[in-house]
Amino acid sequence: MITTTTMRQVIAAVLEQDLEACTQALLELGVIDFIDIREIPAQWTAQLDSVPAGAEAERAGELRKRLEAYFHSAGVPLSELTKNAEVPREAPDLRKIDSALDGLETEIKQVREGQKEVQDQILQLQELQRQLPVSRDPSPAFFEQEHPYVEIFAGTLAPEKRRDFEEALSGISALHLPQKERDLDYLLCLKQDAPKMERLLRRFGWQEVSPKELEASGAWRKVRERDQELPPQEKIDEKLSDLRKKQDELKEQLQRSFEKRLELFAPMWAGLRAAELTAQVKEHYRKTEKTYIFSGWIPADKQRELTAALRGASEGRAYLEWHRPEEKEDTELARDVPVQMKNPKIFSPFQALVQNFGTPVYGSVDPTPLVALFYLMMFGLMFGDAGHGLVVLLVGLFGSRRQRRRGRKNTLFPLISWCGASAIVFGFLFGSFFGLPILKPLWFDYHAVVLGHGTAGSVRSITDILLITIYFGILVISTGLLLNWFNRLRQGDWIQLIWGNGGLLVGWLYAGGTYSAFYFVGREYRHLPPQWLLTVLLLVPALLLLLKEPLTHYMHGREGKERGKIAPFTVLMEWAVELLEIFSGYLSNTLSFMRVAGLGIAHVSLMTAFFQIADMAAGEGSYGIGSYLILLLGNALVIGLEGLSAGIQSLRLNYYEFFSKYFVGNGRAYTPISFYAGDSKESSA
Amino acid sequence: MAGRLKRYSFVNAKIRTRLGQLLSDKKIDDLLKCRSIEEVASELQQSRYANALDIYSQTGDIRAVEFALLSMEIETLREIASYLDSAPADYFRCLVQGYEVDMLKNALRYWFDRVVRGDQRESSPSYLYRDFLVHRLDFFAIAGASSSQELLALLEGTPYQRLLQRSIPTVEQNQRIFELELELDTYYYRTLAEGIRGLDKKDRKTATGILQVEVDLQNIDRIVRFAAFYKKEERQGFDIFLPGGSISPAVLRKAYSSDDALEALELLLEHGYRSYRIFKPARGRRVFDQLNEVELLLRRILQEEARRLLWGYPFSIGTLLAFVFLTKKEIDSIIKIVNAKYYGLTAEAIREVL
Repeated sequence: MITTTTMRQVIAAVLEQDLEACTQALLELGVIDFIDIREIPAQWTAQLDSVPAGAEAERAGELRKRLEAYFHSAGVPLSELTKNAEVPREAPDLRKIDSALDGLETEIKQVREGQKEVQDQILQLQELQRQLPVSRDPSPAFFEQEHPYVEIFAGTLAPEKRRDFEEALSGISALHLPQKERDLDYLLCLKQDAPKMERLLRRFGWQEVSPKELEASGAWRKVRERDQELPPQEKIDEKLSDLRKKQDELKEQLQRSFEKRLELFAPMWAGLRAAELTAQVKEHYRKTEKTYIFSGWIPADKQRELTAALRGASEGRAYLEWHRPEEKEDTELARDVPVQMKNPKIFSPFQALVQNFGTPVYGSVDPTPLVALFYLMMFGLMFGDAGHGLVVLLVGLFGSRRQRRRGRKNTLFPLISWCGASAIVFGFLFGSFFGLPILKPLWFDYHAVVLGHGTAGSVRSITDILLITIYFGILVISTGLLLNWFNRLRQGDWIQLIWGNGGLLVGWLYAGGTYSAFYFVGREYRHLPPQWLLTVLLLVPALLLLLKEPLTHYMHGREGKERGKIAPFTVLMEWAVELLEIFSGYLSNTLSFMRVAGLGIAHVSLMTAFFQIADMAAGEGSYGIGSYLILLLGNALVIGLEGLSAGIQSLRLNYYEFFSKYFVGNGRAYTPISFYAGDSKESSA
Repeated sequence: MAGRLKRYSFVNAKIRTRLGQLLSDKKIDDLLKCRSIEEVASELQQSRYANALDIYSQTGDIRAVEFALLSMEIETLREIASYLDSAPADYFRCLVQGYEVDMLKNALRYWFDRVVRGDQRESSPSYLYRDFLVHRLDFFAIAGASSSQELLALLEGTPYQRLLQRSIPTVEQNQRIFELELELDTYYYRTLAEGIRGLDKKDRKTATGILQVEVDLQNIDRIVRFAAFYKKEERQGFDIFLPGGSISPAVLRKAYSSDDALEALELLLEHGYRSYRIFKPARGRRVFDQLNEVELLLRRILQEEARRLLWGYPFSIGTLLAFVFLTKKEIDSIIKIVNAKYYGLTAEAIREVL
């Protein structure tokens, strides 16, 4: 957790007869980050042959994708398919799987056809709806006149045939308007469906009634009565709603059907995945006549496990050779050691933030826990409100739960939850709850200080708040320097440790400069530290820095590296520029942390402003709906805007002020070939 | 300079963040290899097209997917227009008008079939844009208008009313809507050219370059198709050239009056498209194969131009146009792939038309 995981390189040789069993063991364990053994500089490695990849693997990959696509399309997430998967012992029967997938495809097609039929009915009903008068009660003239696109049938139907007729009608986008008295029916459909409708009506013995007869019989009145109960437009809405439900049912039916088949298809998926990965593993094998050789990196704590697995699979016939990264003489190879950052799962959002910046170099400090600490402290200082924090925490928890349900890995929502928790803690420290000072502050009353009422405790003015953030900045920067020294010490890079940009001398200058600055400010900007002290604090390290160029030149010469000529003037100029850079850089880095106070003050000020607006809206009386609405919107705005700003600024301070002191992000991430989702069985657990 | 900076910095930064969302060539290749629409949807589930493709799993209707994708295309243009002001905003609104004209043509075709040709069997188009594009138009009402008077009344307050007032008698008399469609296209390209004239010199040059290739593409296509389908004397009644292309009207007319399609195509390439003379379709093949090759070539030219613009001077209309073009191309490819999967076409068959 403090540094990246210690790695070991394995070089293994297995006999042809043990190849499949050993490959299976490697997949199950899922810990090797393979390298091409031919990259190892030795005469024998160049003579090894490649293992040809079979066409079966590509086919297995295609089938796996197909299987995943079908389940995805049926609304069954991939996680359902993979959650209990075990590496299968047998190679998959691709033909059988293909044929099973054809079955799935047919089922999906059938459902899609059903959905399409329903969709067509929806579209036709919508069309019918457009052609009907918008009013709730269409005039009799509408039923009398000829319509360009709508066919209207008026007539009667024998009562005993009504139920069957209704059923037969379900496939046509028609509007059936039966009368209450059941002696007259209206049927409306699109002209394009008229022939179909006529056939249906003939089948059910429909007796047509002409509009004139209709008028004479007084049926119009009856129709209108019926319309008042449910006008045609609303009846269409009702039908549309039924059809949409039918579409949903079809979708759910497919989902249920696929869920039932999980038991059958999950092992197939596992077989295909294993076949694909086996091919990937074999791509890294090299062979002699009867042996297969491979190499890769694994975490040192997995050495025993891998040894046991390979020995077990080969019944003791596998030969294993282990190497430490320090043994690598070739610097290129040493630099290629993959990096695993191993942190407790709760730190995963912060590990993602680190990885977003870059992968640290092998053997250096893994800053994840410190990033978590500093990030949350910065966020809390900028967004310290228990109420707002609670909202952010709930959003984070809700989002995380939703993502988990969808089977998606996500680090953003857990990060939001952490930020919410931090805001709650700082809210208690500052005594703020939705901008109201109703909690007793455990540290100081932020609101009172910003509004100029802070009279108790050590923090009484905005200057005090600014000072806190500067102290905090010094802490972060100093930690960064310490980490850099630690990294350099581990790497044995003495020149960089002492003379480097974040080296001991720069640390000495930073400490000296900080002390001098505080001394000067503490004496009301009138006195600097005594001269002898200034000499020790600033002049000595500055002069020692002058030795950097000549020393580097000398060391390059000793190591046989190419080196140019060294000119005294250039050395002096570079020294002056470097000193300037150190002073201005570290000063601005430290002052940069004042933004933490800035945003915290803005948070309080914004809330105060919204309370004042709410007061103004209330006038002399108590709060009305308007005032509460203003407060609600104000809180929402502060949570949204300030939350985003605080999150971004915390990230920025970590990346630029903290990482720039020690972090070298050109490492190669550890990516073992594993059957299990994620990088290994352990990390996915 | 400061004006350009102010005008384009925000929208360009916004658009540039989306460049990474464009699908890679490998992704398109993966889509081609898919066997079904379900696989295409699965491949695109992490992209911005996921929701559009999900519609298929709800409705089983590829027209609904196409419509959703087309709506995304229109939204891209409308969004860009909303971030701009004055002439560039007007120009992007002109581009939106292209979709309005297409939608109007679509609705008019249904109106024509029902009212002029008296075909009552067809229902009106199901997927027409309902939101406001450039003019207040109800495409469904247009498609369902019961007479030419009703149709014209629905177009009141739009420039299309005057245009249709002039053309509808001819449409009714000739029982043909083709000329009206040509007029609408010509109107659109004239409007677009006017929009370009409002831009400043640098933007004008960029927009004109794109417009010219697009118009040439359409003119070549039309001339070759007319030459293939109509005899020389039958062709004279049609005014089919769109304005704004790089090929001179004289060359277009000469090619149009050629004896056959192949001759027309060669003439256009030889005289009209000098800068790309390097391309010469293989002799002895069918004219439509050759036309297809020419179309592919011109589309490639457009694509290369767009990619070049993308990384050019940032404070100009270039990046925006390039993004619009590449988005349009991408959506067009997805629509073609979805259709091809629906009808069971092979990857090779689709690749030819992408």
